[in-house]
Amino acid sequence: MKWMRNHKKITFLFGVVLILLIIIGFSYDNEGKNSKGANLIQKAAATVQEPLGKAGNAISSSLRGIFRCGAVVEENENLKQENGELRKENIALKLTKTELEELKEMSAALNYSGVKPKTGLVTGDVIAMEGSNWFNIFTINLGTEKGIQTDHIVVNGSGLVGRVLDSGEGWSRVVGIIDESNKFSFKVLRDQKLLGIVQGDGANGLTGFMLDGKASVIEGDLLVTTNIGIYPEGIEIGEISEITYDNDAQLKRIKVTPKVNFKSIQKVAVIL
Amino acid sequence: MKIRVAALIFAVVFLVQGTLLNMVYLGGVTPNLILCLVIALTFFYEDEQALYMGVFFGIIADICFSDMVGIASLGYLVVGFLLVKVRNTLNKESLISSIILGITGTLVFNLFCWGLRQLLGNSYDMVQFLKLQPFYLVYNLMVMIILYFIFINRVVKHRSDRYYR
Repeated sequence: MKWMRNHKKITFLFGVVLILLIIIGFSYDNEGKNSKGANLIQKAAATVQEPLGKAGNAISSSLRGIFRCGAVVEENENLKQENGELRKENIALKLTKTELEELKEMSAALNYSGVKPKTGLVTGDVIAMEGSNWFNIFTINLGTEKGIQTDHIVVNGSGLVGRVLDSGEGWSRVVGIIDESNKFSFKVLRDQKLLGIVQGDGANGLTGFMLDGKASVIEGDLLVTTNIGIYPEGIEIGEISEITYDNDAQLKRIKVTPKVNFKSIQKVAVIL
Repeated sequence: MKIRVAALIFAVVFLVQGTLLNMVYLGGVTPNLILCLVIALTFFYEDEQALYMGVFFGIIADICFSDMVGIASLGYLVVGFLLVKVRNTLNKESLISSIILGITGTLVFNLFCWGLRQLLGNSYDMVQFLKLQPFYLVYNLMVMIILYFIFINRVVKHRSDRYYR
């Protein structure tokens, strides 16, 4: 005790270290889920971060518009072309929709209760993201008030973004697929018998391997989610950018460029 | 430095870090402003306010942006503690001192956080981790140089006056 009284600063520092170690242990045990106190801190932070995040997104979009004028014109031309193709597709889908409605009427008449698909979708904004660490976790302005829970799937217009790590009122923490802790299965859209596993490489990309070492994948193949695990089937993940054969493990290893640009992610949707 | 002033600076920096700073991505990373502040303020001022603020805002940053709370906070504590031990041996007026501390502090912090995460079962690839370090160093050094010019005249009075040397 006398030593502690004579060395107050060192004693205080040891105390802080001990408390931090306990917090780390507690956090490790809870696998990323916040305690009630931490939820309040997160809510307060999200309230302040939301307007700042939106301002940042607006400035970023404006700057990108100014500096990428040529690219925007080209993008506009591509979008016009894509719009034309989508219109044709829309007409075909309307025809299919009519058929579907007829089938639904028939199933109602026959009192058939089939498997109800997941249809709920809520959209929101990314309000905060920490780029100074090598994991990819960000905060969105949707929370438990919208029915969002842990492991709900997050997507945007380009494809799969990630999953909800934790949520509270007005906020949810989302871990991106490019985070190395995210490991999930995929299938190749061109040949859906070709399956594999990918995980984030922590540097805005994905790495993985094919389950079949002789799988005939090629660079540029589009990968989509399977229904194995938490991710629903058919969401675009990314394109294969590099294929190598690992002789030791006898595995075909791949590098994948995600469809989603995680550097400029602003709008997301959560599948309920 | 008064603790209220330090708290205000850290609060503003914490908010900027997670929101506006994302506009300046380089190589997939942004500068770690809280770390730079811990290093600069602990070095320039003869107190430990920045160290305590680093620990506090490290916890908040971990709550908001990490899957494990306390690691960054402990990292700031380690860097700040080492800095307290060596700050009197370095010349505050020299920009070189700030650059050396920026490099060392960034590497110590990142290695500590990476090592602790490895111990807790996180399997982040070391090669990938090392590839990111030049970006962290460049970014944090730029911030350290800016902080040097902001704080040096407040901390060392009559810096250019030879009479006071």
